[in-house]
Amino acid sequence: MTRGRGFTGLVRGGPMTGDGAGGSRVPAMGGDEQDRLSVAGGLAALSLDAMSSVAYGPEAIVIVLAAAGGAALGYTLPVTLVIAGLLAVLTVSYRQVIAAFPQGGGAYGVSKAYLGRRTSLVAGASLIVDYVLNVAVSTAAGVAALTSAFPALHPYTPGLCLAVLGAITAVNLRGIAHSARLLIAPTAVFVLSIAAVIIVGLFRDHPAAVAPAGPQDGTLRTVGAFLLLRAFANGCAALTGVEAIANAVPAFRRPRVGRAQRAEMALGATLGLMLIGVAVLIGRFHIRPVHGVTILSQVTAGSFGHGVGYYVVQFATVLLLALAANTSFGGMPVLARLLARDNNLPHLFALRAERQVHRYGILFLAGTAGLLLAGTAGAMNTLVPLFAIGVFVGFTLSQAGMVRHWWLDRPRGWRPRAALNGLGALLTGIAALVVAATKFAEGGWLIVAALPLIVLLMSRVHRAYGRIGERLELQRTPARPRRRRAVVIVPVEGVDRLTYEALSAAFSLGERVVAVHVAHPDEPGDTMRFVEAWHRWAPDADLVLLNDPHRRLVEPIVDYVSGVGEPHVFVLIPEVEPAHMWQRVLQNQRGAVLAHALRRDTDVVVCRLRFRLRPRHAHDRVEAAPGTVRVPATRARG
Amino acid sequence: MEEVPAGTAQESAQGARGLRGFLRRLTSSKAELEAEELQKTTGEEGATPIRKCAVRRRACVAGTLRTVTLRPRGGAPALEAELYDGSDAISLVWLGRRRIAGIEPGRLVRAEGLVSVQDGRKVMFNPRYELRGGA
Repeated sequence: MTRGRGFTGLVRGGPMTGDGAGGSRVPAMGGDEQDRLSVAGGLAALSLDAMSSVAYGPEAIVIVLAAAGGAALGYTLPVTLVIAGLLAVLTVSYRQVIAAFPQGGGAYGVSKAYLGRRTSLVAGASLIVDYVLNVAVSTAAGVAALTSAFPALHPYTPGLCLAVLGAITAVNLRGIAHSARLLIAPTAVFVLSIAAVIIVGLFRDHPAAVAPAGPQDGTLRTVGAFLLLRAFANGCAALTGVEAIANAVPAFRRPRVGRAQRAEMALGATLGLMLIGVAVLIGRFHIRPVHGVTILSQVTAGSFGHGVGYYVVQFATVLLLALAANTSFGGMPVLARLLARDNNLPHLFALRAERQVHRYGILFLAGTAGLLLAGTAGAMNTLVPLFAIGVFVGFTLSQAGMVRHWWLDRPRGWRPRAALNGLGALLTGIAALVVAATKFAEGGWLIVAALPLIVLLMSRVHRAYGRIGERLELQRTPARPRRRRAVVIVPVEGVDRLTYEALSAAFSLGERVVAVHVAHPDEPGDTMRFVEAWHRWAPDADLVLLNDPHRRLVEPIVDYVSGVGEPHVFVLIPEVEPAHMWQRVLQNQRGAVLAHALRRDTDVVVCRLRFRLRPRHAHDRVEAAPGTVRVPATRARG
Repeated sequence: MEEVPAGTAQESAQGARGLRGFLRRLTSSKAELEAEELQKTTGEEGATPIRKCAVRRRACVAGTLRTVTLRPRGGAPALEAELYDGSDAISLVWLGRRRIAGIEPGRLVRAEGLVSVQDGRKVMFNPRYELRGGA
């Protein structure tokens, strides 16, 4: 899942400390080496998703096999071994990705570099889907672990899921400082407790405690290849997250590549051992799916009984899963930024400073994950296979990109490496197809439909930006700027200080200034008085008197302005900015209305001059008003 | 002076629809009515509709003064007014005059002179004029 893991962008973009909205999991990334990740720290900080999949991966296998009866459950270990084999291939291939992309790879980066923009969009879409599903799956799995420990809570699963999601969302909206050291403890506790479960379990002949099994599906059906394939496909969800380290190479201490590779290998080994160990125990304890109790919980109970150890494991699982759900909230904004930088998402998402932007991402994530959780009523086993589809699309694309990378560069000994990545691409591609095909009716269609939709949307956005760029003549040197004939139009209502300010500003803007006054034929006296005052003042500007028999607010001016055939037309709208908020009601909002109408109907440059009303003495100190001008600055214009 | 029209195209696209568009259509039909009314007076005055005025021909036009432009004292004296008769508009320019009593916006005027074209607009220099009743 969280392939766009953040560190790439964070490192490139400078220090992230203080960016609270879930943008960084490891702060002070831009700082010195000491703050960067060691092998153990990196493993802890980056393996959350991978480790947490132990909580739902084996279960996904068992649930498929159990449908074929008790005998089929014997195939749990072989299927797990195949998955572990795939994990080994993936781990070694990602080891190569780390070496090839020391700046941080990830499905999007790799496919953009080697497979073209279109394919990278597929990768981007699959990542978005992954982020959403990671939140949903981790939340559902965490709640399942909780309700296994406290069966009384089981009827409230959907509500609990939404509550956990809400809590994670709230924390992320509020903003939290993430730290790798903070994550080491929960991960270590989880891994150690699972290890203890496995070791203790291996020494037991009988499970210490057995969950009350429901009515067993007695009919033994033949275990076909299709069933095994489905079990394999379902179980592939256990592989999610193995790519996270490859994305975060720059976050490691020097030598980054070496440390990241070691961390990746350690992750693969740990995850593989845990998966196999759990599978062995499933076989040993004859565990079958029981409604309301997770497989991992049954395995734990088998080893530890229902003592303190059991609850420690369950709580460690819940905590780890919550943290794993949280990683999406950190990774999503980073991916959105990368996508936006490549013109595939609105540029808004590329703004780093704006916390609001993270907020949109967080709310999007929470909303879609919430919908999924509500739609499935928090049923973990419905969500997990969906998760696998998107993840494997990403795997396949990054592996295929690596093959192309080897093919183009052809360093010494590239053939075996290309073969390895090719094998990875082939296997993950097959897995993706199998999961999508077997789970199509059970919600897989959602992912199969969502992926192309997101790709379409992003290519639409890209094309729109392309057109905009074309019109803006980006990447080209425009002609030298030159002065053109310009006219500055100033709507005036009276001859006063505001008019003085406006015309002064207008003369600074352009040589030709035209004052426009709307005359109402039913009030000839008003117009005459205005014209007389104008002649007394005698500014060096044309005065246009507009006839308006209907007392319309802005239309006469808009009509006049649109008839002016100059290359540059400025309209300078003088407005009074009251000294106090309440005085706003004394002003009419004509300036705003006029500005809006002008923007809508014409292409002129609209300038709004604000005349700030300060106490009179302050005014006089700033600037002495010319004697001939009356200064009714405080007169309410209406 | 702080706002420049960055979103002009978008906003004008929005303006074409919805309630605002409906209102504008209403007002434009009002403008058409007005134009018809004005054209009627053209007929009554026995004048030529401005749209049909040929360039470099003397013509007699009648309509209301839509705008009156007063030039500043420093420049060459000229009084300019735009006459609209419902079919088209023509600029009436009195060179050498700063103000003419009665040449005010909204006034119904009958003018006679040589029609010429400047910058794509019809102009009549120093026309003979008659002020007709109020607006």
